Amino acid sequence: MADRDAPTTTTDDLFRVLADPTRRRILDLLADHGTLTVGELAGHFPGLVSSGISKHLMALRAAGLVTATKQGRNQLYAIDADAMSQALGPWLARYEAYWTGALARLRDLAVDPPHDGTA
Amino acid sequence: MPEVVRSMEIPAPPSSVWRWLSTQDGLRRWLSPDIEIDLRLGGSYRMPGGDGTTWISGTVLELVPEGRLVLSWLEEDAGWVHPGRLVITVEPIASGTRVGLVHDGFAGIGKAGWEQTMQAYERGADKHQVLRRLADAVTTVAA
Repeated sequence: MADRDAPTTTTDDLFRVLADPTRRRILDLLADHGTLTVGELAGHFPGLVSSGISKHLMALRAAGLVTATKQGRNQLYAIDADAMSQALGPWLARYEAYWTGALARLRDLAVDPPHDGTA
Repeated sequence: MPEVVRSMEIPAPPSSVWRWLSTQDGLRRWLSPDIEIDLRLGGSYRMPGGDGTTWISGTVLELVPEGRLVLSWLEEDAGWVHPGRLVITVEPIASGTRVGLVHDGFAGIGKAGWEQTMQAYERGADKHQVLRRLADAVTTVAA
């Protein structure tokens, strides 16, 4: 299983890590491909040496955004969807109330349609 | 679960529920009074967010009559973009209809169906590039 020993990260730390365009591109690539090795990632960044990619991956791992799983001689990197979701806590809270209200409106409409008497 | 998940039983048949999901006018009655939506597969939509300043846009990813409506969900100008999905399901039960609602954000990354969502965003506009604008705002937050 992937390593889950990354330290707890505050939302601010997470944002700081994501502020770097190369790291965002790495996340885009991982989202596209599922898992990638450092070498495969490096192929997408001709201007960067692999050690540079590794440094970015370390930052992403430290923030808990990606996981690394050993496979043979390679580490396979993947997005940590759970950590991503945790960062969305405040966003989710905002929509909880919104959807509760919307569904109640839908129920009222379906049960007791206005004007045209269906039901 | 990291998503917003809701479910509600409605004492009316699925056909009575679906009519409020199958037209723009129907959606305006409960989802958002100002939604503009092209209700067919791949059709686009836009509506004001709940806070009065944000706009939500996306495309219709799935449309199954009396079954399910799936929209890609993009929050514009919210500081950062949440590429997500809104999944509404309708199923018949003994007492009428069960409506399920799942609204996810980054939770979708790497999971089944995510690529489709991403493609929908990329079709939407280059300014909607996944994670790019996320971080622009994020930079502001962190500064």
